[in-house]
Amino acid sequence: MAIESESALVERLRAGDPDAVAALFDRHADRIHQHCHRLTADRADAEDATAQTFLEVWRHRDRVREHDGSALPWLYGVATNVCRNLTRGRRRHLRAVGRIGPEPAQPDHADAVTDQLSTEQRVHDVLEAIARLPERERDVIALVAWTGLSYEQAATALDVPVGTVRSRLSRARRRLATLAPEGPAA
Amino acid sequence: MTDQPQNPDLPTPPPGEPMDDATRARLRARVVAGLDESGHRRPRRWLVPAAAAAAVVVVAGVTAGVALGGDDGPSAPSGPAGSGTADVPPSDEASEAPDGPSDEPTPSDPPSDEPSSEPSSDPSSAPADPDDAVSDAEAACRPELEFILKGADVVASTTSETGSTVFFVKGGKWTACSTHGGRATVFGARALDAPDDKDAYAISSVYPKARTSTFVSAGLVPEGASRFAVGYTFPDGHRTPLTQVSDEEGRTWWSMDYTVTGGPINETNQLELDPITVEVTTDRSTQTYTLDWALDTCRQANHGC
Repeated sequence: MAIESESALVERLRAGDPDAVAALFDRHADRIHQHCHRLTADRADAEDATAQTFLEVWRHRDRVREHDGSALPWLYGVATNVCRNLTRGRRRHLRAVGRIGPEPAQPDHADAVTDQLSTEQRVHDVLEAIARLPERERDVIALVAWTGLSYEQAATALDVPVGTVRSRLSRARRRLATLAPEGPAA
Repeated sequence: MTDQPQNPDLPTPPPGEPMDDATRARLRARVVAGLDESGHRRPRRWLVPAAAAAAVVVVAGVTAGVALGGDDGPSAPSGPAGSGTADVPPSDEASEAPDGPSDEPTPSDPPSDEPSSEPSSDPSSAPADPDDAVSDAEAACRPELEFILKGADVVASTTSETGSTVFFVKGGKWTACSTHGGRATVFGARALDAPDDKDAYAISSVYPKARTSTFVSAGLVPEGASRFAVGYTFPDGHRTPLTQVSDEEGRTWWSMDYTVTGGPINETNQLELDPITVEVTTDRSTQTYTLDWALDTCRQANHGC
């Protein structure tokens, strides 16, 4: 049986065919979930965000965009926004209940026992390392350095020019070098 | 052509945990159910009477609230502090139940403009037309009801400048969904005959952007109460008026929303803030509740605080 092209799927989505969302979910949900897990460092949040992403895709189906015949970069962009808002709300709540104090840093020697940390804790550590970057620069890191999108794909995801992706990434590098002279966490 | 970057100097997280089959199936079902909920728009013939009824009770509530001390005004010598008090509107102001979705205010937005760090549906961009506002609100809420009160019918709604609150009933339970703060916030379902206790007045919190907080609550006026007023007093002194609306069954629903930008509520660890006080007055009694931050301000069932 021939596999339907992504362009055809996108066309069906634009035409209001809900099955197209289900098909996109089948194709890309794992990647979106992984992206969300990296952004939220929380399994439950990642699941919520994944489902929400595809519902947002349906809601904004008239704005779907392809890049090189794939809707995935655009999906990453939707997911990035969903996760951003999810984590923003959670941060506020965590502050409210006092679980994050003014000195939230984990002990640096945690690096020595990285292999004993859960994935979520490790993601937390990385997120903490970049927490002081502007949100837009964090988004670029997540898409380019973590997810492996090209600059062009990241530009599609964020709906900005390619040059903006490059400059944000460059600024992020400089900031990280300043914030952590010994080198960013790996 | 793609430009594949090399980024050895950027922090890299560990590999993500793959979804297991059960999780994938569950999320897929959730998405498909959400599509079903949002894919069918039903008639809006109920909207005009609903909006009219809401407008009537808003005016009544604000007027009565002023009489008892007014919103943000000096303390009144008597009556519930800052309550938008109003007599229970007669049941013939009831709105006809709707149940059709459309577009929704949302916590997220697909890729769009450069500074896309804020929720796509800023409260300030709420539809000017009350019909549209309520319709949008219902559409936003439908998918969120999936695991709370799926398939519930809309029985009433209220609208203010910053969003709408839609009341849903199914069987012996009800819930409310608010779009204040730019996202759909659904309360946990409660029994229609649930006791009128402190939990009935708990608040949901939404943080649409930095230094902005939105607090919402909603409920069902106790059966038989011919007079009902609720006054929420926040630690910054703000006293929030109430909006009431009746449905076809003769039930009366109330909602409250307060959006605050800056100020101590946004700039202070909430645990250090004074609690919120709620004064509930009916023709039978007056009861004061104290709402603790975090414990009583996270009533929503569909997202975090």
